Amino acid sequence: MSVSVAERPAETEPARHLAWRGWLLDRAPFLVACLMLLVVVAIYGALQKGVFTLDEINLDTAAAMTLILAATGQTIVLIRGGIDLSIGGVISLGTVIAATQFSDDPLTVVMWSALILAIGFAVGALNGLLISALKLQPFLVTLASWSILNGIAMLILPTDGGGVPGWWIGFSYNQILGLASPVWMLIGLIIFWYWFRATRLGITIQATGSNEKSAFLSGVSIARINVVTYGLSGLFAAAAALYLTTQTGAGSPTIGKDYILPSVAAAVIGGVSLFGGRGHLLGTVIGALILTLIGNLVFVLRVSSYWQPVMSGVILLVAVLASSLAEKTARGQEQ
Amino acid sequence: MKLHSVLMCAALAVTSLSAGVAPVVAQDKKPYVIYLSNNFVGNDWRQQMQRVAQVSVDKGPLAGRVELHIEVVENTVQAQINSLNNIIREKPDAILVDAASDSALNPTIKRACDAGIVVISFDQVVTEPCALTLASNWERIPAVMAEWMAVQLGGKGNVLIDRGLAGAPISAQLQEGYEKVLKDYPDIKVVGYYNGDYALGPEQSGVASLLAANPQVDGILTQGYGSGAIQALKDAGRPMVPVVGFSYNVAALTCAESGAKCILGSNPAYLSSEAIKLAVEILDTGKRPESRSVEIEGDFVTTTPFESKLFPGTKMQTIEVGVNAFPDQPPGLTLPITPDWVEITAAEAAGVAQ
Repeated sequence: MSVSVAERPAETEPARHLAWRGWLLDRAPFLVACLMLLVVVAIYGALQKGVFTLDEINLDTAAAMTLILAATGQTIVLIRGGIDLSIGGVISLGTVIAATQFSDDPLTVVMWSALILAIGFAVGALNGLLISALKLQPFLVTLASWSILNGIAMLILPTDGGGVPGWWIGFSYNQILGLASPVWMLIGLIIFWYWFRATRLGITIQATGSNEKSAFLSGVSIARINVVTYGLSGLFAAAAALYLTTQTGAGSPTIGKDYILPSVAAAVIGGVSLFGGRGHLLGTVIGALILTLIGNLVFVLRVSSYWQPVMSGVILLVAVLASSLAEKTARGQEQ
Repeated sequence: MKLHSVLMCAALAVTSLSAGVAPVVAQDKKPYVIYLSNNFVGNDWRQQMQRVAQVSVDKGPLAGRVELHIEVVENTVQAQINSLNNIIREKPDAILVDAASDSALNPTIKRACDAGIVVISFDQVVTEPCALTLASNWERIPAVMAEWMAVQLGGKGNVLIDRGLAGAPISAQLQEGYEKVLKDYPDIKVVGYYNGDYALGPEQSGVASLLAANPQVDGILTQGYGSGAIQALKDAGRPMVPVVGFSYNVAALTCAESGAKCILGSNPAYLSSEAIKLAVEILDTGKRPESRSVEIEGDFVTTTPFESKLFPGTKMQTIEVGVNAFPDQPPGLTLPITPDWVEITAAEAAGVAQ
C-alpha cells in the first residue's frame, strides 16, 4: 500500500510530462510556422507604416487568396498522401473560360462560375479515378492532366486577354464591417475546415493518408477516397481561378503554373506532411501568408527582389527541418 | 489541431503586434519618385534597359530630378500585381511598367491611375486606357528594312525570310511587315522561309539548309542577329549578300568584319529612359500627350544608309567599329546605346562601367 502510494506520483509525473511533450512535438511544425510568420510580420511592421490596420489585412488577404484557395485543395491531397500538379491546368482553364464567357448579366456569370467549379471537380475526380484504377503515381497522372488542360486553355485563348465585368473585378474590394470579401472568404474556409476534418470523409482521408493499408483493411474504399480527394482539389483550384479573375480582370492560358509549387510550399511551411496523414488548413494559410508577405518585406527592405525566392527557400527549409526533427524526436520517444 | 495551438498562435501574433513600430520616413520635396516595375530580367535587353534607366537619371538633364526605384518581379502576373500594390501604397509620382501580361494587370493599373499616379507602360505594354504606352514603332522597322533590301537588290532577286518564333505575335507582325513591302517589287521572289527563333544556332542552320536548296540567293531578311545568316553564307562558300537583322552588337561587328551590306533595326533598350523622360515631362507640365500611345523611333544601324521613301526622315547610323559597335563589349548589347538627350556610354549600358 505504502509502495503504491509512493509510486503513483512518480508514475504520473513523467506521463503528464510525456503527454505535454507529445502535444508540443505533434504541433511543432505548425508552431514553427507561426513563429516565422511573427518574425516576418514584426520586421515588416517595423519598416512599414500602417501594417497593423484593417486595410493591411484586407490587402494582404486579397493578395494571398488565390494561393490560399489553390493550397487548400493541395492540403487535402497532401493529407491523403498524394500530390496534385493539375491545379495549374485547372486554374489556367478556369480563367480563360471566365474571361471568354462572362458577360455583364449576373445570371450568366453565376452559371459559368458553377460550370467552371463543376469542371474543376470533374477533372480532379478523373485524376483520382485514374490513380486508383490504373494504380498510377499521382505525380504522373496529375502532370499529364496539367499538360492536357494547359493545351485546352491555349486553344480557347492563345494569349492573355478576354475580360470580366467591372462589378466582378470590384468583388475583392467590397467590405462588410470593415473587412473585405477575401477576409470573409478566409473565415469561411477555416470554418469549413473545422467542420470538414471532423466529418467521416475528413477522418477517412486523414486515416488513408496515414496508413493506406490499414485504412483499406478496415473497409475504406481507396478509389472512392481518391475520387473525392482529388475532386475537392480540382474544385478549390477552380475557385482559385474564379477569384484570380477578380484580380486580373482577364484570362491567361499560362497563369496556373505559377501556383503549383507555391501551393505545395505553403502547405509544407504550414506543417502539412508530404507523406500524408498530418496537416491542418490553418498551417497552410499561414504558409501562404508568409510566402506573400515575404514579397512585401523585400519591397520595404529595399533590397533586390532576388531575395524573395532566397527567403522563401530558407523558410521552406526551416519548416522541413522543424518537421523532420519533431518527427524524429517523437519516434525516439516511442521507442 | 486543438484549440490550444490556435490560441497559442494568436497569442504570439498579438505579442508581435505590440512590438511593431511605425517608421518615420523623411522625404525630400524636390525629386519625383518614380518606380520602374520590370517582370523579367532573363535576357540581355531587359538588363540593359534597367541599367540605362538608372544612368539616365544619374546624369544629363534628369540628374537629381528623379528618385528611381527599380522593382523586378519573378516573371509571374501574381508577383507583379502584388509588387504594384506595394508600389501604389508608397504613392509615387509615376510608375513605369514593363508588363508580364497585356491585360491581366489592368485592374491593378487602374487602381494606380485612380490614386493619381502617372502610369506609363513601355516595351510590353498594357491595354488599360488610363496608362500611356511607349514602344518602338513596329510598323516602321520591318517596312524600312524591306525597302532597304529592295533598293540594294535594284528591285530584283531571290530572298529568304525569317519567320521568327512560331506562334509569337511579334514574329508574325515582322514577317507580314517584310512581305507587305516586298509585294510592291514583283521581281523580288521569296524562295524560302525558316524559323530563326531569335537565336544564332537556328538562324545559321535555317539559312544553311535553304542555301543548299537554292543556288541563287540574293538577300536574307532575318528577325534575329543576321550574323548567323552571314556565318551560313561563309560556311557555304557563297558570296556575301545584303542582310537584314536587329541591332545587337555582335550583328553590327559581324557586318563590319564580313563586308556584308547590312541594315539592323533597333528596339532600343533606352525605352526605359524615354519613359522616365516622358513621366517627368507630364509631371512638370501637368499635361499628357495627345495620343495614348507614344512611339519611339530608334536609329537604324547600317553599313549602307539610304533615304526611306516609305518613312521619310528615318535616321540611319553608319556602322563604325569603336563608335557605335564595340568589340570589347558583350555581343548581346542592343544598339544604339543612347538617346540624343543624354550620353550613355557602351560600358555603362553593358554594366561594366569605370
